Amino acid sequence: MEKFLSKWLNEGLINKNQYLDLLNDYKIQKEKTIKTAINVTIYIIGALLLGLGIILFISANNWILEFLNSHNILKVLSMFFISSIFLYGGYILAYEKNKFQKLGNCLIFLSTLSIGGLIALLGQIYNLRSDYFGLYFLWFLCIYPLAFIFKNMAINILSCVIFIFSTIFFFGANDFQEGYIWGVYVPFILGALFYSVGNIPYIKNSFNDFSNIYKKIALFAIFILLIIQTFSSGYTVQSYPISLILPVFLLSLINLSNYYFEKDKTPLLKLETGFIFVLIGYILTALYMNVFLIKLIANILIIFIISAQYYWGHKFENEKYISLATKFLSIYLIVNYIRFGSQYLEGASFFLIGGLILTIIGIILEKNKKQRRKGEIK
Amino acid sequence: MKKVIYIIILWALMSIAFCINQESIKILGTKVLLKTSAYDPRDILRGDYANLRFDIETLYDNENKIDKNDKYVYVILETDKDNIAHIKSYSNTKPKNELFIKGKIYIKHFKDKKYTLRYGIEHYFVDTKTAKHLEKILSSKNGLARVAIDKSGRAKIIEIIEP
Repeated sequence: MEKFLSKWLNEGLINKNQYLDLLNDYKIQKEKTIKTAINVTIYIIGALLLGLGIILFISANNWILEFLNSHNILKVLSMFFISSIFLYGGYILAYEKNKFQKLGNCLIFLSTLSIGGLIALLGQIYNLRSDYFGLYFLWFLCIYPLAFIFKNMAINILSCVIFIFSTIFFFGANDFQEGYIWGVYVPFILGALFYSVGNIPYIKNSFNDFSNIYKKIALFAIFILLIIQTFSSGYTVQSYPISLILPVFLLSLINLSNYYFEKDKTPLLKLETGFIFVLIGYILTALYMNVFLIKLIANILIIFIISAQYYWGHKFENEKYISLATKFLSIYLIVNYIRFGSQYLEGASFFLIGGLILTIIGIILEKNKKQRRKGEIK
Repeated sequence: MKKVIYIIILWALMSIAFCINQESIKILGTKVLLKTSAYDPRDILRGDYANLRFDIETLYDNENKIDKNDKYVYVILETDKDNIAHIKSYSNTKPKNELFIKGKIYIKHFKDKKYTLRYGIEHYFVDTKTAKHLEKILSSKNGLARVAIDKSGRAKIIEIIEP
């Protein structure tokens, strides 16, 4: 910032007084940020120690714990009580007193972890395996509303992670061993579901940050799905059981209602909705396609995703879209280089040419980034 | 403030609903005994639990009832005079009016038509002392597991009875 201020002063964009005022404000703000970061770090460490202390307190061998451990109901009640205290205390500190917002939010986050501990305890009491999807789904249901009530991104991300685990364990438990399920269906369902939730008008308008995160997760899942498809060798599954068709049908309904209830039908929304339906069509017909067609469509869709992100990124001057598109492009190029390069190039030349290509791409991207930044500053 | 209270109520309701769902198997299910043995009963990360094996986990498809695409088998049980359950027959469709347990096909040996099944009762969480004790006892001799089985074939362990 100091560098830019000096530059603006030299270019005559600001005068000496403005320069000093801005520099002073910036220094005060910087100091505040450092102090806040230190506070947050201390709070996080404190909250973690507190959590660890409780776990050790529960597992330690003394008379209180002998008593608490003597009945499952006492163990459950003590964990429930602790989780509720964290949530209530966090709320009071962050939103009622308003003086300890960071500490309060740390405690609220800690409550989401300790309620997970309670659910793990229930799983143990009923002798359930740790990969039982129901436990993760229950945890997700318990903490997801908190993300919206407190507009808390950390809880939102934790909920997403737990939901993904829950979905994976669900398909694992139902023993869908076919390559189609793991290579196509699960990433598709996750991707399409996150995209659909991210496009729900209420979430998009009132929780825009959440919506962006869902879309990022969705794009990543769909991208992985399409990359896997470029390696497809066809499928042995001949038909779809109703249990697999139903989620696709529900996703279609969510997308249609998202489109219908959205007042501002932007070109981006039209494009996204259209893309989801193309993807649904692709997933449902992939079983009956020949291998060449599967690979061709997957490559076209990958190129479409990358180009669309670059286009919208430049149009709305959104660095995040461009950055994500660059990551996807890099992965796509590396995957294909390894795939085809290893077939046609000898050991040394494979690495040399690969290194050279990546370096050139890196230089081009760096140049583009600098130009964009210059444009933003102007 | 109200929202926080609602969340705490939600947590309580969900935990209670989960417990009712699990307890219903124990309370309403038919109680039988299954012959069992244990192995590797301790795990540093997951605490103390016994990995149980059951006599009924191995099934031979002599009647060619299991299709290669089947994922579950319904094992029909009969009990002897000591209430110990044994395999009476099996089916790949849900039986009616019979005591059965739903098994997930875990390992398939197509050559000798042998299937290893999992019933969701293979883990039994216990405290450290009991885990060590169970390891010692059950690794040399077969014990008995008192199991409750509900009408849809779901099972829950109630207790392990030492030999």
